[in-house]
Amino acid sequence: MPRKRENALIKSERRFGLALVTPSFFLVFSIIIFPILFSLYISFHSWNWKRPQTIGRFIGLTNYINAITNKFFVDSLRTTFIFAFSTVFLTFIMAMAIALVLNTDFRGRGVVRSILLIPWAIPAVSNAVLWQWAFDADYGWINGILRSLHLISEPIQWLSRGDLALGCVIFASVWKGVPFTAIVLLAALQTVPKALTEAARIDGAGRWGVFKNVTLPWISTSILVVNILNTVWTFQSFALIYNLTQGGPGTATQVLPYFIWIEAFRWMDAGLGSATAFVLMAIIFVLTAVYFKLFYRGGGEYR
Amino acid sequence: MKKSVISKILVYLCVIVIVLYVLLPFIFLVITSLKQERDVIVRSFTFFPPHGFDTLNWRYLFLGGSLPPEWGYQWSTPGVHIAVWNTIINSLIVAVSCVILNLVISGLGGYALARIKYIPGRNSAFMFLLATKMLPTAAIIIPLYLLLKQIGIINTLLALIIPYVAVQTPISIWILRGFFESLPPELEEAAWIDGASRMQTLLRIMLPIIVPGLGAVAVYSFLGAWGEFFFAVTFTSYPNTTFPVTISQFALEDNMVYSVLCTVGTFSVIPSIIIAILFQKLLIQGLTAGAVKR
Repeated sequence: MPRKRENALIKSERRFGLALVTPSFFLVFSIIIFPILFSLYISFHSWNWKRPQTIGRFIGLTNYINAITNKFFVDSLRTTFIFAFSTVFLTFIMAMAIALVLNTDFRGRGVVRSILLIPWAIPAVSNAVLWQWAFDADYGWINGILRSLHLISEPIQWLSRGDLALGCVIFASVWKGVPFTAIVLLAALQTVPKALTEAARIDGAGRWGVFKNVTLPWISTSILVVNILNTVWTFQSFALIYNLTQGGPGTATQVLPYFIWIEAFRWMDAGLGSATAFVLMAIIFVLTAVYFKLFYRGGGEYR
Repeated sequence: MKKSVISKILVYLCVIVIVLYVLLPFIFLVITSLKQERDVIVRSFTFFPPHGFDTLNWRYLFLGGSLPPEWGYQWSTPGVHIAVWNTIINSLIVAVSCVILNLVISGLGGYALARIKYIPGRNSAFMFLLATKMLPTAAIIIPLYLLLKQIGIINTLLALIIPYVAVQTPISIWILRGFFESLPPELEEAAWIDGASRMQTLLRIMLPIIVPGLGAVAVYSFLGAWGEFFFAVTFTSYPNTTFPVTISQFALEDNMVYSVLCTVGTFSVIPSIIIAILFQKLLIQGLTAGAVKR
């Protein structure tokens, strides 16, 4: 093929390709990237909708300093960490157990997998309603059953006691996250070659030994990915907390996304909200990097 | 022999516990939605209410009417069904628009990123798209609110459709790119030699083969848009909002009626349950495609 024609062909290919990717990149740039940059700009400026005359004045790091020295921010930060790490950790442990059970042969496995998908598929608001009804102190079914079994005489104030509310929110969050995690881990378990585990058994390894030394290393990449996803998601939880506890009682269940939303849309301080959002973003990035550093060993091939 | 029987029984016991763990909250929700309020506001939970099961809550929500105080209902809003239907229809409009836009935009983008070698920086562009999934939505909600206000579509369904598609695009492209890459290149090349254009081969030959991929994207897109709350409650309000915001209003009401709340809750999970069961294979394929290396 003559060079000139080849070049023309490449050019038309390139033009066609660029035309196809333009809509998606335009959308992502205008709805995600541009707003993020704009948010960074806002975070360095005074941007309180209650004081329109001061909007846009450059104030340096004042918003960040105001955020970090805000007692409610520090509380939310601690709550966010407790909430996210408990959720991710408990989700992983329970999902691993479920995946191991479902990895054995039994009748009706397909049905059980379908059922497992349901909590993952329902809206977060529905999840909140589900557990609001469960944990309701006066008429909820958990207290109702405990009372019928004569285990309690006074109703437990699940959602209005500071020391219990966060536990309830974590429980609801775990309940919704476990099925997805279990399905991913189950799929990973099914890729472990039988020959490998059998060889280990013949060499005298016990069940636990096989799991620890053969199965876990084989599925390590899936474990890493699913835990990163769960971490990113739980650090973003909003709908569940908004609808189950509204951050309360007091600020016992107030996590950072909720704090950001309240600051911006209730107290009208977009500057403080944006600064806090960047703190949240930095936390998520650092955590992801730490996960990779600690757990990524390349590939997921057998070592 | 005996040992294997015992371990089989153990497995089934575990399975029963797992199934109960998942389904129990739903069972209590459904039962309560079929009770009269006077059988709900009692001190212990009964599976069989003294006054029998009734579809009153469902009729109240979807057909209108009022709730009789003598049945324990202290509060009712005649005409509430209008608001319920309004937001359900809004949710359907938003979800279906998202599915269509998402399929078109991500279909084209996924194909190009998988198959056209001459796009400069093809792989880094793709990684960049995926990396946007790490950005917390809380970090874009404030500027996005200002942007949507500026272009004049705040408090319309467009204020939800456009952001939803933008947020869903990276994952959709990721799924579809994988499907396109798995097809042999000869498939297209043969058609080009016969004189078909690139667009023709994409539409007539490639798309029909990757229908499972398109299906997975459609299902994710629908579920995501149907259930989204953060953007919906921030950018829209009644009558231009979606069903999750209505659910939230029922849940946060001071004069909460338990049986009605459970009815709203039950209804809100029905589409998701149907989809989860119908498209189990498709969803699991999509869910596990990236996280598990084969």
